[in-house]
Amino acid sequence: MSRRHRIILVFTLLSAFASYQNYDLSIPAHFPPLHYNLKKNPLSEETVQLGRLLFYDPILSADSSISCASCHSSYNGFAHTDHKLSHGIHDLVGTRNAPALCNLGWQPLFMWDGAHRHLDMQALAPISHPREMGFSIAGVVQRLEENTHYRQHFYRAFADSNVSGERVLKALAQFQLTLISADSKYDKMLRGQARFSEQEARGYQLFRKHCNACHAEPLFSNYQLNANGLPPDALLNDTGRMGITGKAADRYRFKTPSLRNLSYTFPYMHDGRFQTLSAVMQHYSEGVSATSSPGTALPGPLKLSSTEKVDLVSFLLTLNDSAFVFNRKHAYPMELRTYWKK
Amino acid sequence: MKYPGLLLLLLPVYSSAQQTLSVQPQWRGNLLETGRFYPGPQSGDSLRIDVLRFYLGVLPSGEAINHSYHLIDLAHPESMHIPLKPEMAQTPFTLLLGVDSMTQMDGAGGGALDPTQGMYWTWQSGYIHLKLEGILHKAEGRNIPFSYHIGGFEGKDNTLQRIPADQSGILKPRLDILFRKLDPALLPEVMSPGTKAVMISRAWKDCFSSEP
Repeated sequence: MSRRHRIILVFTLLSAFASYQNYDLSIPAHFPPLHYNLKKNPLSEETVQLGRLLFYDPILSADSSISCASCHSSYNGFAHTDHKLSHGIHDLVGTRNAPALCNLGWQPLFMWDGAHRHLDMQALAPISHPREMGFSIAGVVQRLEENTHYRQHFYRAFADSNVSGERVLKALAQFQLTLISADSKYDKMLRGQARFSEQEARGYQLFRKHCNACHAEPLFSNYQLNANGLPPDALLNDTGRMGITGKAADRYRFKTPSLRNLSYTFPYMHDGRFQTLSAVMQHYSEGVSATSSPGTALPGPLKLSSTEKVDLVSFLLTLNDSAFVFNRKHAYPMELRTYWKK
Repeated sequence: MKYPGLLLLLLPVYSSAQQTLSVQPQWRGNLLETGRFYPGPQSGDSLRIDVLRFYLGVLPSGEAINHSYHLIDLAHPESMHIPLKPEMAQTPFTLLLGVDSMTQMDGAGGGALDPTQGMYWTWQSGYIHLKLEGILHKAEGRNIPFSYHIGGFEGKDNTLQRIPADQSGILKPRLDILFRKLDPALLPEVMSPGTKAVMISRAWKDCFSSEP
């Protein structure tokens, strides 16, 4: 091998190494340590981009009609705005409201009932659910293997073009890990870049007194399974965590959702029963039911005054993060449009 | 420690002087065959095993060599022979029936642990350690399909089992032992973690015992 060839080889290897380790997740300084172990799935621009394509591509569903983004659209804070329950393939309607996605790297539990404990594996649930994508990870892999466009992306991401379930899931996880929401007025207030109005400040104090035990700052969830006094819907009869464990103690327990980006993610609750934040305030103030056995963090109705409810909502609106919601790096990749036209 | 070697004798160690570990499922001392009916738990009943898939974990002692998982599948004879890495030839190791909880929490696995293998639950967390499916033919003519997807890795629902020490390089799980303790007519399906899954995982472990 000539000297010139050696130099080219070394340069290529160095470039390859640099490109596979180069994604800066920019962890917000006021956030706790990441729960996700990045050592098991080191981020790279190429893999994040592959994950983004997969997230927006209906190729993951049985009839190529439903993508992850169908129910988790970026401009809705990655929720399914204005849909109580989401619909999957063949217009089949599910049993739960699509949860908003953000700050997933800090979550130890996924799905409303905490069914999955790892972000990588969570995607198996919607891919396989007959009312969501109605497909299988093996079917997804087979389709991608037959797709030259995706094979090139796998090559860029993993240094060979092999497609596997592991790679599909890790790429999806990488894109979702980049969905960090930390630029709301609340975040700016913490960084000394903004000040709350008097009403927002009053709402913040009320929040810390009544809500923070479960919707813990700065992620606005403790990501634990709790009952919140919501009377069960007679039609859906959703028992929450009990559906996974079969234990009576888990009846009506659901994962506490984050409260970030609420203006974009209505309706609210696991079954999307509340269209407005006022209705949510009314529930916590007057409607907490003993039937769904809330824990000690919520012993009963909060009995808030009208002013307190408005103040609380005023604070909650400071958790809207438009920079996150309209971040082009999270949006539909135009490359996909070109590729589907072919 | 005065006699560190004694510690090794106390561990459930599998000697790996051989280069291959073979799995030969049995029914009363004979090789198990798919499509064949065997005597069932009750007199006059017969039983056929259509699916037998399970995870076998090889855990070398010492941190230098990573542990590995293998998916054994009755439908794929090549999966019954596990080549051991050369560096493991002189390394004692233990065997697991299932996937340990650390690996379960590591995220998406590759190779034998790739979710495309169909051994990861989609509706909840966790690998299925053992898939066992078949038909019980009752004496009076009724057919009862049975299906056991055994897994669970948390707390008292943990179905991970260790296999007793062996020196032969051949594992001979005896399925007849399991069906002495498990009547598909009484329990045709176990598809989620819990006490029934733990009970079957223990019976599954007993299949690997050298005791008759």
